[in-house]
Amino acid sequence: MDAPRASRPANVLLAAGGILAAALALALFLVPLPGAFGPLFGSGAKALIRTLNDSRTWSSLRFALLESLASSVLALALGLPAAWLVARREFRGRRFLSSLGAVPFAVPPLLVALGFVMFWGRSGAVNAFLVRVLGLDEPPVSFLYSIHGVVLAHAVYNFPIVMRMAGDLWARLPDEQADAARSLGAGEGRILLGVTLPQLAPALASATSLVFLYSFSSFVIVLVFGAMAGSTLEVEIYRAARIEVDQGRAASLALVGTAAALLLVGVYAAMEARHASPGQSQGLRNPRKPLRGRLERVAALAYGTVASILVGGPAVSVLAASFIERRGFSGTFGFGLGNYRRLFESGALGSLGVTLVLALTTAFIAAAAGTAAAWGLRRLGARGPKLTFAYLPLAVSPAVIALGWTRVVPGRGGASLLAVALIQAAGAWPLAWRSAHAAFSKIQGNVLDAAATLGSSTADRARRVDLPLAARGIASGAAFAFALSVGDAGSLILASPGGAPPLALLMYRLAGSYRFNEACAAGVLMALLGSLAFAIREEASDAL
Amino acid sequence: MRCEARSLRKDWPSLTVIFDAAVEDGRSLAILGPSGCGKSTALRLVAGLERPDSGRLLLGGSDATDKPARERGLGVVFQDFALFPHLSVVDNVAYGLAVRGLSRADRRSKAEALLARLGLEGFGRREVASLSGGERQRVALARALAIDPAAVLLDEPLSSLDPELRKRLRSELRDLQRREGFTMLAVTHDIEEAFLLGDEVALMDGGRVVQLGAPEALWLAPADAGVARFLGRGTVLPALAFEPAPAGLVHARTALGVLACREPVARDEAARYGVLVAADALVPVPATGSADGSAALRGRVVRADFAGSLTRLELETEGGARFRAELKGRDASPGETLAFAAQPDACLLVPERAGS
Repeated sequence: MDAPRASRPANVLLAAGGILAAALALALFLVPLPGAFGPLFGSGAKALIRTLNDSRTWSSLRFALLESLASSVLALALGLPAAWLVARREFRGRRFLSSLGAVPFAVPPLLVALGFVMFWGRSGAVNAFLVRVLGLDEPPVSFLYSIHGVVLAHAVYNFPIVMRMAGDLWARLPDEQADAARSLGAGEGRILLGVTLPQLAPALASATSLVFLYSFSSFVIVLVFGAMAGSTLEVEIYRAARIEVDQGRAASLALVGTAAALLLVGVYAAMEARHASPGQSQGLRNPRKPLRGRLERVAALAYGTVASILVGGPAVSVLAASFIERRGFSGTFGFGLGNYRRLFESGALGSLGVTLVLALTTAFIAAAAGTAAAWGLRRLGARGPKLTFAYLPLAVSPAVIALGWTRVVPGRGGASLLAVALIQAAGAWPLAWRSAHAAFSKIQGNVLDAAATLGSSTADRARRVDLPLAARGIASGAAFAFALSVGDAGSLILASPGGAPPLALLMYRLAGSYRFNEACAAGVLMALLGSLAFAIREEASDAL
Repeated sequence: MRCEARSLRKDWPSLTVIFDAAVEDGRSLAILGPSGCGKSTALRLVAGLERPDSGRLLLGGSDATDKPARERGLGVVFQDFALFPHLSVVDNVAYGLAVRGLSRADRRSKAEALLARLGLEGFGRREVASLSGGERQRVALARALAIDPAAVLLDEPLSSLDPELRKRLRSELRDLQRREGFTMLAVTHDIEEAFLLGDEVALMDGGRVVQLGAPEALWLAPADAGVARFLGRGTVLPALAFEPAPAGLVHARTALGVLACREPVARDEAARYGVLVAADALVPVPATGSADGSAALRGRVVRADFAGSLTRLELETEGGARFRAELKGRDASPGETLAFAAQPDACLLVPERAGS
């Protein structure tokens, strides 16, 4: 609905207010950029030329492209059967499979990495099982710390994106087309290849390019598993800035990374535009049918088993490991709360407090910026910026933002918590904006007109009508930002704040010093806190 | 309060709306017209929700053209009622009072009293989502009345309700307007509703008011053929030629034959005219011919729509021309030949609108 039209002088004021609100939100992205790219100007083009001539730059770009491509293909292979099952079939466990759609947003990548270590790692559950059953001397599974580990983690983490996007479209493809093909004598395979998949193509292209983009800018998973195999630009930026302390190289890599990401975002935006273009089937959901025939049942069971192992294995391993403790010097294992006790004895309470403060600050900044931008853009009635906002966090990498904000807001003995909150909010506010924007869009123009005729000024309408009606949407966005902040190890590793480490950083450090069981305990706490926020968010969006 | 629109103009890409109408204090005006004729724009111009490109709006004699909507003090009832979904019934009604800075106790008591007057006693704490269509309409009206409005504007206030409720509520609304004595402007596309709600009716077409007058005046003396067609009182046929006739009458040659019409006060020889043959004024006569010598229209029934107290007929003459007539009760069936006397009061000479 349109916002109420105001008189001309008021329009100018409102437009100015809208621009200001949008600019404040954009500042989260724009302010750190001089910080991130600043060193380039100090040393002239020397650092840039040095970086461009460095073979490591190109090998990391090549590695990033290769692992992203492989990750997307594998995510597509895992996601497509799931999309069909979720969209077209009714069976026990369908809701659970469907709920995995939230994984890429709700589960922090560090937790996925830790889960993979606990499940697929040298001393992980799979190797322990195989060594014991087959009586081997050496653990047989050793692909984790290579490009294979990176790709599998990315694919398992991101296949729900394919499932969700392709499934949404698949559920609405009219049955009649397949029936028509059947009546003309086509077999099921021919129908899938000739009728169904071509129609799903836009959704598949859009989902795959999003997985590619996420994998390309992945940081934590590559940092953990990629050490032996290679690194992405994100990890290279981190190494240059924090380990080699070569700010010129970090800034140059940031420039290369941003250019590459912009290019990829352009491709994704084009795919997305095609996906959403009119002419696409916007019909009703087809009713889901039960699994038919032996072949379908066996295939579904096989898929279910593989998916359970890939998703459930790491998750259960983390949970179990958090309760497994080594007792005494004999090295015997037993179940108990020892890992949690040790965690709190070594200051996890402080970490919990810092995590909460950081997450609340991030949620506040992200929700305020997102709401201001949504409100401002609604006053402006602008369309173009909306798209830009949606793609911004994909285009400007967290490493660049982190590099910039830590320079703009320096702290003593490491980055300040405010800098970390700003970094996290820069990544989270477009999501808060999306949620606030959806809530504002649902307010009927007539309701605002009614308020105007009853004597409300614009500011008064914002206070009495706009904000109360959008409150749930804003709360939902804030809870999302909170959940992201709780699980976001990437920006913490990049910014490396001083003082008590937040849970995610504590978990990373514990895992780094091979205290895996305690790391798992920290991971479980983090997951609980994040799920709580996510549950609040789901509650708030359901009630919208 | 008296409310007068003087050539309030709004240019849309596909339509220019020019609204000229006045409603006296305590009276009601229905703005009637087909969809897309600009009637809602006219109401939004008066409400201040659209900014006019030119023209003036006078409220109680003072110029309110440049006042924003919130300063006009007009109560508006929207088509879908536009109740605030996050507020209770009483808080919806009290909204305008809260904006005006009344204390919580004062606005509550005033809102509760108003709800009681509109038959919504005890509804105050209810959520608006729990209300029926009719209840919502009354809450929206109470909200508009709470601010002691200079006038109440209603945009298709009954169109989202089912027909039964609609009929009941429009009578209730009219009674309420008379009882409370507020000035009212109501937009509708329903002729019956407009006639019932308005002391006067402004009929709009193509963005302009084409006739403004009491409902009876519009019905009995439509300003032009377009108005006559829209009101649907009968068949409008082109007048092909005029023939000499006794004083006060004019004989018009039409596809139905020569019809005796009352001579309009001023007939423009250059203009084109139509003849409205009023279906409700045709008198059935034996098929052999009329007794008093007035023109008899004879035709075969091609369509008979039973509508309860009367049957609406469409007939076709031997020459192939069609006309409409009405019969009390159910007394005709397709294929039957019937005749009707067309007395001068049943045949109205109406000018065709220029350019139509």
